[in-house]
Amino acid sequence: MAVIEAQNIQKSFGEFKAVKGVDFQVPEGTCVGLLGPNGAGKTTTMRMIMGLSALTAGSLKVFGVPVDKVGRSEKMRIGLVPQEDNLDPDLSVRQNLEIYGSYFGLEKSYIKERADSLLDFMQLSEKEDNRVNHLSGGMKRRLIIARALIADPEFVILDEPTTGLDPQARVLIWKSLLKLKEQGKTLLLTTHYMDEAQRLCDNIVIVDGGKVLDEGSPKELISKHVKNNVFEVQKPIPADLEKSDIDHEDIGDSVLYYVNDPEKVQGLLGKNATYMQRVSNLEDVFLRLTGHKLRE
Amino acid sequence: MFFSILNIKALMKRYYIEYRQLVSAFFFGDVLERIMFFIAFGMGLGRAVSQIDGVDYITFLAPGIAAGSGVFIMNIATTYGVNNRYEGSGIWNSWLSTPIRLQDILISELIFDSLRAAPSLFILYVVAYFFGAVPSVEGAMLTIPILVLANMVYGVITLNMGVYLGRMLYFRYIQALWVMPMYLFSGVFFNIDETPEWMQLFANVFPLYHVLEIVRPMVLGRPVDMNSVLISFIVLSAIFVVGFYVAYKQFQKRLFD
Ligand SMILES: Nc1ncnc2c1ncn2[C@@H]1O[C@H](COP(=O)(O)OP(=O)(O)O)[C@@H](O)[C@H]1O
Ligand SMILES: [Mg+2]
Repeated sequence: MAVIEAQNIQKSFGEFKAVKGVDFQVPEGTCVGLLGPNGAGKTTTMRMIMGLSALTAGSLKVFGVPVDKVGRSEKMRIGLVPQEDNLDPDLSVRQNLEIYGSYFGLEKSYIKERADSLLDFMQLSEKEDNRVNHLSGGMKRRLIIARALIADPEFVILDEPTTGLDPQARVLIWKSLLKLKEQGKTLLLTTHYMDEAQRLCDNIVIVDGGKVLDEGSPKELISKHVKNNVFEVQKPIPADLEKSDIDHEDIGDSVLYYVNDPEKVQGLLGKNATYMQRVSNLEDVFLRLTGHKLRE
Repeated sequence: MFFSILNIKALMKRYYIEYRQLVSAFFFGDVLERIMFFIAFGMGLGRAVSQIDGVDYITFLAPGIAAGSGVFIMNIATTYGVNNRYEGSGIWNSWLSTPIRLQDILISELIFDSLRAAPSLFILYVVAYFFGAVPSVEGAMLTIPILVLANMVYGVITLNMGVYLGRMLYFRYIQALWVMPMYLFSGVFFNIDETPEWMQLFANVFPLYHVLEIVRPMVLGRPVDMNSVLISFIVLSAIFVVGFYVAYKQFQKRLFD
């Protein structure tokens, strides 16, 4: 069964259409990545799933239940890591977990046990009595992830869990997400780090301007849109290469050529070309589909 | 049921933890200012006004100050306090991502803030007692639960105004156009029955006037007209129910649309 089934979901803020008819599914036990530039509508989509934003049109089911009928039993099964840090500023680190657990109506002893293990899991045990205002950005993020897991949810929604963190903190969060996957949890993730998405996600949905551009496994998307290898060739482009029918994209100062067989391009480069060759990755797909121009 | 007791209990605990940490700040905000009003007007103006409504001025004033104190507490809590929670720190969003729902948050906010006023009222009456301004101690104690309920009504009104205005900068309008007029023209400081007719009519607009009609005789140890109590109770309850529903709809629109 799919944990999330979204059909043609739309969201308008006044005249402005932020989400313009999006379809996707999150099958149970998988990690789905929702990727897109800033302003693509990712957060809005996640807020609609959580019931924090009403749908303008379309059909959205969460655990098979229409989102406007979602109640306590479904909410108990979902954990949300929101994009913004909305920890409770009047509570300590531990209280942020324990009081949050009480909102799920959980037993006190169970909450305490969960809080102990989550503080440990996220390496926050030393800070448990600190006020949250005194935490670093990475610690706040880790605490928010721990908070989302307090009721041991089956489904975790993570909106940019690692944005703005140093590499150490990112690695720690990756590891914890991999552990959640091992435990069979279902994940819906947004991130601007394509390596992160490539490593964690079974399926990727690329969105831009409130619409789905394409979806598939990272492998499928790469071979479909950017082949195996990419050559970034500085202008002026050698005449032979320019005349060829190799799949390419002009990005201003240089042109990107996508091929499965690298020799095909190498043979046409001539002697004086300045270029760079590498194995293509999800970032190439992302840039190819969403364009190279800057966003919001 | 529309509300979930389980959710309300969980939120009450959260508010209580905050209250415990900030109890001295609440004391200064909630009580000290009212005590200063009471002493300054009671002792100062009380010298010039010998008797009012058949009692000393300070005795007349005590129930007024008590009944009016909640107006300020509820205004600050339901405008600045609430706005900070749904926009500033954004913790309502985190609550709404759990089984807790909007109606549970709104009612808990009103209940907790109203209850918070009870200790403040007690302290006010203790101070008034030392000035010999509480003729009926039982009557005064009985007004505390009544005033807690009255706070729910004050609160639901300013809650609506706050969410309607939306931005903190505009909350001054509420203070200037609702809270202060209500405080000054409901008969806290003077006997409404002795004012010009237009002022008597004007006072009817304010819940505080109707609350005072019930509370003042109780503290003064006079018989209370049960008929008018019943009417006031029905009207104030109706204001609360309608006000709560409208606030709920307004917040739904603001948060989810
Ligand atoms: N409450 C709102 N009111 C008006 N516009 C909004 C609101 N929330 C989001 N938007 C707009 O909707 C678009 C999508 O936003 P968002 O879902 O946050 O994008 P993303 O998370 O993909 O960066 C943006 O253009 C944003 O400015
Ligand atoms: Mg976002």
